[in-house]
Amino acid sequence: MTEKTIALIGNQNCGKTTLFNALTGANQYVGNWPGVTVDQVIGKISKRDWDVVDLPGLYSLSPYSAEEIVSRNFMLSNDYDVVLNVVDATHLERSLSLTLEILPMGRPMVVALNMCDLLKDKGIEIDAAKLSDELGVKVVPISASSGKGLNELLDAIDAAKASTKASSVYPQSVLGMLGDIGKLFGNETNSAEKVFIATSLLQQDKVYLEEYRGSEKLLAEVARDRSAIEREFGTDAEAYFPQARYAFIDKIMPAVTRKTSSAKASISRKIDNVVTNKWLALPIFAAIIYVIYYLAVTTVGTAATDYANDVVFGQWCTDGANWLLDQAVAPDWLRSLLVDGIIGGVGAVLGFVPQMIVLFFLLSIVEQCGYMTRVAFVLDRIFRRFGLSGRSFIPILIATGCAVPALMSTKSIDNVNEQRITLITTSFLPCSAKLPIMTMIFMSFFPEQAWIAPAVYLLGIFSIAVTGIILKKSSAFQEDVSPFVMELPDYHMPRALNVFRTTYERCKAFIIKAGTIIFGTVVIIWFLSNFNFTPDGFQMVDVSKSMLASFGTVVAFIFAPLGFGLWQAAVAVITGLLAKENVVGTMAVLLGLGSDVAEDDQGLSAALQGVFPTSVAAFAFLAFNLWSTPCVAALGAMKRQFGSGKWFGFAVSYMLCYAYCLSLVIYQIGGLILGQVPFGPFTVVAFIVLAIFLYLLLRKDHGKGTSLRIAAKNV
Amino acid sequence: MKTLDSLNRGESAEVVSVRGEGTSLRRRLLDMGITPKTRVTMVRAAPLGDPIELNVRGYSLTVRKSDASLVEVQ
Repeated sequence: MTEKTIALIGNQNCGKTTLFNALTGANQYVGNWPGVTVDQVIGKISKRDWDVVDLPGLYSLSPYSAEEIVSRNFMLSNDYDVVLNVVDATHLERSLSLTLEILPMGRPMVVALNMCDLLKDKGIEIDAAKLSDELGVKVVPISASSGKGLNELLDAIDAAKASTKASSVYPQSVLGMLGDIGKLFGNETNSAEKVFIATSLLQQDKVYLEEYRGSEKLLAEVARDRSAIEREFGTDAEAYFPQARYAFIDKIMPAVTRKTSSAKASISRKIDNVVTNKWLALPIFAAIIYVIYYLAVTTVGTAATDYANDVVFGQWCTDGANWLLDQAVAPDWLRSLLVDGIIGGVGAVLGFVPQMIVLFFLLSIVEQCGYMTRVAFVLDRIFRRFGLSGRSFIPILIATGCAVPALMSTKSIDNVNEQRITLITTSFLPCSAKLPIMTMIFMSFFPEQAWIAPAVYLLGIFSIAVTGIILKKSSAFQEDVSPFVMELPDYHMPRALNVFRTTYERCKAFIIKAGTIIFGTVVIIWFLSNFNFTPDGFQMVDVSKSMLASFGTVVAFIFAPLGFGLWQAAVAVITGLLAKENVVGTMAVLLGLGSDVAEDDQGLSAALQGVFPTSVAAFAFLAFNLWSTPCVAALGAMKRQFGSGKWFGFAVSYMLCYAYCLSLVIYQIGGLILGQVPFGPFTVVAFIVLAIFLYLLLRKDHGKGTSLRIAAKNV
Repeated sequence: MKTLDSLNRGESAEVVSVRGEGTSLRRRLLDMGITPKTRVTMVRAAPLGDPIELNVRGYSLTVRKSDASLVEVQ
């Protein structure tokens, strides 16, 4: 039985995760909070038998992104006993604003004054006892990275009490209003919620105004109090609350902090003078990305992946399984299922794990040292043109490894329109599972044509840009936007434990996908492609007579206008919709070559020439596979991020439609130009599709567009 | 009235008011410490001219120019 549950809350980059790791040490278990979301990480302090819930970082309790809503809802729940507010001592002024927002909720609370070891270099001294007096809660100076002050912190948590100092932040008149409004809520609303919702209603928080739309008595009281605040303080209620918090901070700062020496010029500023320099920023950025890819994809990662594919799965697993099956005198179907189906299919996916580890490891170093926010700063201007944000770059980069962790990382984009467009476009750059399809098509139809691989990546970037522009202009993507207001945190050395944990989390997502969804599809496809009803009953048959072949024959006509109307290609596309890793294997099996054929096999090349009459048809096939919906695991991650079936449905339809139209245009118009495809009715359709796309792309932006124009409307 | 986006590199100014009532942008700017009477310094613009980096209350904050134009300064 857990004695206490502690809610860990603080700004982004305040060292919250480092403190979480230091408190929970090796005993932490990473689990999901039961219920709505999996974004809260729970750990255990075994010394005290306490649970710690690590909440996503936020600057204030007004929610701007999905991540912040998680934290806000948890703070309002009854699911914890003590608030542990982590405050960055080097940015005390701004950090205390959140502290003051939580304080009036009346929950037992402790403030951990983190990064105290860095104060000396900054030439600042903080009087923790004085600050403690002012806030009315215990303030403990700590350094999470060196573990200093943690025992004192635990003792303080044990004795934590709620602050009674809210009256020094807000005058009695305002606290009275909060109390009066609070009385109008029902009994199911707890006292922290009453204070918070009352404050939010006074500030015209849209979420709560909507929720209490029917309660006329409540809203009348709120309206009265709003005008009272305006009369008394000469400012609107919305601005009053943050102003009052900062006024309190400004008042206590001189007593609490002391400048000891003139601060050294900040190291972060010096680094930024170089990495965000007008001329150097983009070249430095390109060089860093190149190094990451060189290490992950070309050298270390590939060596390990080749080893995993050829030796671990190719020899050990296959030989081991064969030996076991020999010993057990297993039937043929079992051997076929195990060796061809499961080891071949799942092994192909797990083979990417080493590459993934290197990629995620390097990316988390770059993220945690603070460079990624500079990337967002530098690239925002470019990305905004396409309806994306500077922060969209991180997911898109991760997606070249695997779209599942990439989609999960879109949570940090606080503009909901930009997040939605990022979710749809993230998988448009080929992920590692799509590489074998590319290799297969290139080797067979475009041998020794070096331009083709860059061309595919360019087409990927083009797809992101076109989709971004089209969606940005549609009214559905012009909801009231929350802005790109972002802190550039000081650079720090990444902590090894944090880097390993992030790498582990992301790889885990990938491996779970391999173990569940891909395992499942592999078994199903194996079954469908080996069995059918025959005159002699239901039994194992040759793949060309299987259930899969029958199904493929029925749907193949859909793909005929794209140049690949044979059932084998249709089946490969369908298995690809489940997981892109399946495409090469399925193609090989259906062409009678066995599933363990490499994507650059000579025999496979020859057989493919029979499936695709022309190189442009092969390219259209590739295009459909690359730009239609990502695998089922990624779709699952996408659905969770959208948090709405409607939006998810739109995204899936858009992607399928985009891929179909793109392939159609490539095959019909590209083929016509190259003289490979004759003019026909579908050529006309392709030209119409192209015209519609150009219209959507070039039409005027009628929407309200920027947040500025929304503002003007409301004033 | 001068707005925050018109500051030159290295220039400082004091916040007078934040416009755009009822928008989440305004809430965000106020929550991040851009409140009246606060001193704000323009540190630099991004290489492509937008967004801009500001120094507010001892930390670095980036905002897009169009958003910064809501903040009146003197």
